[in-house]
Amino acid sequence: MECKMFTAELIVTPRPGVRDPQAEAVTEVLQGLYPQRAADAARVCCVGRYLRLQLAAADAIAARTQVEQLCRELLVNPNLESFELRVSEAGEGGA
Amino acid sequence: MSGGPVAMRAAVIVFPGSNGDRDLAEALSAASFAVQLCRSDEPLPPHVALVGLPGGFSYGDYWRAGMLASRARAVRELPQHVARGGLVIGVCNGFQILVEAGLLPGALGYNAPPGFRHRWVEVEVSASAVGSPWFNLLSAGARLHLPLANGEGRYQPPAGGAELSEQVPLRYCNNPNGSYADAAALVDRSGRVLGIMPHPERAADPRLGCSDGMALFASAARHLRAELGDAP
Repeated sequence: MECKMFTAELIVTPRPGVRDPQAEAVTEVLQGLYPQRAADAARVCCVGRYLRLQLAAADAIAARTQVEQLCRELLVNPNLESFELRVSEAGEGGA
Repeated sequence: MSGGPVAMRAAVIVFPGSNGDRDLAEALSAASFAVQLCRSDEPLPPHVALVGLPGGFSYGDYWRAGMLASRARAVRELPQHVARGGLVIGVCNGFQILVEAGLLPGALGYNAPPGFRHRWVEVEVSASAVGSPWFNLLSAGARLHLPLANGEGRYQPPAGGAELSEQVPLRYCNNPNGSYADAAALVDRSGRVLGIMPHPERAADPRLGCSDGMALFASAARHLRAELGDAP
């Protein structure tokens, strides 16, 4: 079976409902930059992590399945986190 | 039967970035264990009765604290060690490694309110500690004075909110980091695997001002001495 190279971009963020102290800390500092406008300053809603990896797979669906497996095994802790995954053929979009 | 002291063997696993390995080894030695420091990428040594995962910043806490270390060779062998009746303690980063490895349920997230907590805390022994080899010298309601030093110590139960209160042997008297159920420690269902966020090994010598932490190591030693009899 012929394989192609794919790029997967993974964004991991705190699971909805789980407290996000990193976002609270960054918000506090951002609002401190312009204290006179603190009330309408930007509020950081979540802080997460980004990972880009390349892998060989028969097609995009198979590539996504492989990366989802890696997420379950290691990269995402479902007690704390949820994730978004973007998969594209390597070379597309400059990734 | 010699009747002499039993040379119980303990291994302290050293990960890239561990910094509490010597402290843990010293405390276990004081509790009469023969302690060996072992690399995390090597198999567990034979005939160890107790394995300790020390505090520190394994793999620099990259991605999630404890995540990368949780796949190390020595950690992958822990389930067999526990099934054979062995004991495990994970302190601070060691606790994070145990939850990431799935040996304890739930996860440890960033402290809330945000920030690194570095202070002495009071913890209370709960009724759930009864029956665990780590607490057999302590009674429910006893209080321990232990130092805490972590940024990711907020205990989060498994998604779905399984009832874990029977697995929380130590509770913070004043919750410093937003941990669920005031959990300062957790044991598995066998009671033999202990994850603990405060540092008992840093309160294990009266010359350092407090030796409350020794109760845990002495409890483990007593349990294993009874299990092993006089075998060397």
